[in-house]
Amino acid sequence: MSNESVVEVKNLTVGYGDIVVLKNISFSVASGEIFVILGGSGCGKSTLLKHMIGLYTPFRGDVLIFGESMVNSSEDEKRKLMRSFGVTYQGGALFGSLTVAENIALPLEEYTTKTPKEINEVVQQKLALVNLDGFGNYMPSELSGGMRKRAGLARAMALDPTLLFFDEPSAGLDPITSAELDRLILRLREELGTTIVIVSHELDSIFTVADRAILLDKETKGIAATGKPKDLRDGSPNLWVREFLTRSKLKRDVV
Amino acid sequence: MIEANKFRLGLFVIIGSVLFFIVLFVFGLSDIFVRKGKFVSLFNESVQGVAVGSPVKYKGVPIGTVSKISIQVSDKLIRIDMDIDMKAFVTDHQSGAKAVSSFNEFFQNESKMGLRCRLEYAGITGLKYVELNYFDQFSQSPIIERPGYIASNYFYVPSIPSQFKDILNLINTSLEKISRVQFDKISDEMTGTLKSMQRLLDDPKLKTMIDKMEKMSDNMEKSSSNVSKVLTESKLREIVDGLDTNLKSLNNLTISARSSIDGAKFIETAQSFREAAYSVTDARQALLSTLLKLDQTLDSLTELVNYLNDDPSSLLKGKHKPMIIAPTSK
Amino acid sequence: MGSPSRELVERIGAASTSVFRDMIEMVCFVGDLSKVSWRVLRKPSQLRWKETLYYMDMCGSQAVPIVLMICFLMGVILGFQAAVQMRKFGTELYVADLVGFSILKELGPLMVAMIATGRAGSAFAAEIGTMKVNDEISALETMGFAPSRFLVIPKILAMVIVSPVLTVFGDVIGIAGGFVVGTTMLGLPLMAYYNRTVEVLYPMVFILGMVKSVVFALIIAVIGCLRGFQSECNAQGVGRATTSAVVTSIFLIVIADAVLTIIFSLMGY
Repeated sequence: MSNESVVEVKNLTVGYGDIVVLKNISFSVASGEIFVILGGSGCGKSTLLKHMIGLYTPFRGDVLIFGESMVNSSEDEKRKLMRSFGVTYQGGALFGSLTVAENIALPLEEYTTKTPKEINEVVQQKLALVNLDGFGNYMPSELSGGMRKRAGLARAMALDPTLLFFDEPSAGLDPITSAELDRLILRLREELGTTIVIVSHELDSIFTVADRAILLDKETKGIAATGKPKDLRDGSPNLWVREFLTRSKLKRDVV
Repeated sequence: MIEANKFRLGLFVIIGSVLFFIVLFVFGLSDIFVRKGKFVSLFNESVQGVAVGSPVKYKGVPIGTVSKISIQVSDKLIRIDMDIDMKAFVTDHQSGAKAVSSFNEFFQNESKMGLRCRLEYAGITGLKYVELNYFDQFSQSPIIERPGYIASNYFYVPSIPSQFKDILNLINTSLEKISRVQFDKISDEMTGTLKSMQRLLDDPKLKTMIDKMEKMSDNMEKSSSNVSKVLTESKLREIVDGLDTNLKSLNNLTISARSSIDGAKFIETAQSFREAAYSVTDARQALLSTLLKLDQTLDSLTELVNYLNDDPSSLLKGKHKPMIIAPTSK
Repeated sequence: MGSPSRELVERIGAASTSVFRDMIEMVCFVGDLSKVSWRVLRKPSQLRWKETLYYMDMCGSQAVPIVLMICFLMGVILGFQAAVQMRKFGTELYVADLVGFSILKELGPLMVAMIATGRAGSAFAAEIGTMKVNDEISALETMGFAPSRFLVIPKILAMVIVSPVLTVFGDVIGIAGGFVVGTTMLGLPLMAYYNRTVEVLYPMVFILGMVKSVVFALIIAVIGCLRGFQSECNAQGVGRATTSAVVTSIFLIVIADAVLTIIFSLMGY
């Protein structure tokens, strides 16, 4: 685990149309770190993620991935940069027209010179990693939500990236499946040393996995706090931050 | 799963391509493989009604199509290029260079013999086609000689003007002429004429005249039978002469009547008819006098017969009287 | 200025802005597509053959029955209507001309395009719209793929290949429809009708019909995909995108048809 930053966000201002969602955001993610972007609904955390992975172009500022600009690069450079990380989407975002195995094999077919046999080996290995052995020939629609998410993770890791983005990994999952996913994330970091950026509002998993978190504030359109989630909950000078991290916990306890 | 039904897709593509080529072939791509003769002609009249693709016919047999219509700027003539399908000409040589040469020979001979082309109407729609034929009735009209700018591989056919330079023009002038005729006036005149004719026919004088004529002819018949019995040469001649003059005057009458009728002015004709009727009356009077004379002749004939009855020998001996010839009786 | 009239002016302004924006997006999309197509053209291995074949099957061979039926009926209707009018002039044989030219020049390509719009154009828009809702488009992009190479080029290629083939089917069966009317209802001799058809039609008419169908295919595929990409990320959005794809396609097809007809007639056909 080195301290060089894998992702660096500089003075980023983002939004839709004329509406500014976030203003002057700056932070960096170190190599091997599990970094969580927190925030209430509509505070722009998914928007921030989409800017970080290059889907949207920001109003101002820059995103550096492995030291290279995502914003100021040409389309080809951007595509090349995109191949260096994996993204797991909320619903898995598997291609409905391909089987699970074909989904995982797709980047391998496109970007490597591997033979079909070698590709098949990699696919089986990735499926085993996410505990989906034997589901290779299923169509995505035949899988449950959690399985789809894991299959999406397998696809994101097909090219063995050292950086992974997760969009709401535990959303819509039952607590047990959610916990399994958390363990899987931790295992990935242990085994492969992967840097992981997670967008979430599921406090349970945040406390479990996060090394560091930022909390986005809807009102100020900026970062309310940065630090380890536990430290923030217990010792943040900002009352709102403490409330956010505890009140929602209390709510969950009540339920 | 994204998987094409390859068999069905293959069948689709194969059948589609086969159909494509069949359609192309049927609709005339086969023409490309047909040897074509190039004909050209020049016209100094409007070629309205001819279009690219219009048929070219040789004595009514379709042998090709018009391939290009252009204007020669140098002499303001309309140039029509034609593609002639050699397959339309059956020769001993079905294909190859020999067929081409025999085809050329054929048309060179035809040209010497006065082959011309003319635009003719293909139907009532105003579309024209190019007819190749011998048009003897026009052979005296001057033709456009082959100009220098026509390439040597083109076969030049001189043109002659079309039968009607423009059929529409002809119809237009005809219609105009017809429209100038004053039909109402004609019908008015006709009605008037008919009326006066009717009046004329109703004239009682005409009726009596005809009756008298009838009687007259009866009398004449009787007279002639009498005449046939006894007739002296001189008397006969007299009678004949009289009749002759009568007939002549009748003839004159007829002629004048006819000329009056020919005069087309019926009202006046009626007038002259009346006059003619008067002259007929005159003729009647002449006839009456003739009859009188005939009567006298008859009397003297009777006398003669009686005399002969009394003295038949006088026929031989003679009386100191002129000779009597009695051809029919003794 | 009174408020209702002001509102009207504002509405017209808003409508024209949206139309203008739409046109710009269309141009951008086409520009992007041509860039990707050029790349695929230079490196054909980048083409997704499997998808292309799938769409060829879906838009082509599966559409044959409906194309055959509609074009046949089109020929019958055309022949029937022409027969009723032409009988008055005793020019029944010209039904062959009318049916032949109308089918080859216009109705063949147009009917195939309409069927393809309904079948393929809407399907493209719905498919891409749904993929967008499911983040599949984003996934493709973050995997470093140009979505148009995966999703658009195979569709366009498939449409451009199968549309002329479908048009051949439509042309042939449409003329056959006129043939049926001519020989049964009008009592024209079989050979007379056939000969007339062959006599008046020439290959260029047929070929230009094919050219039209290729242009229509391009429009259908491009608009279908564009509307899919423009779809909002919800079920209603996908539905609207599908509707918009069909409406825009038909509109542009008719415009393209008019333009092509003018161009072809300027060319002398």
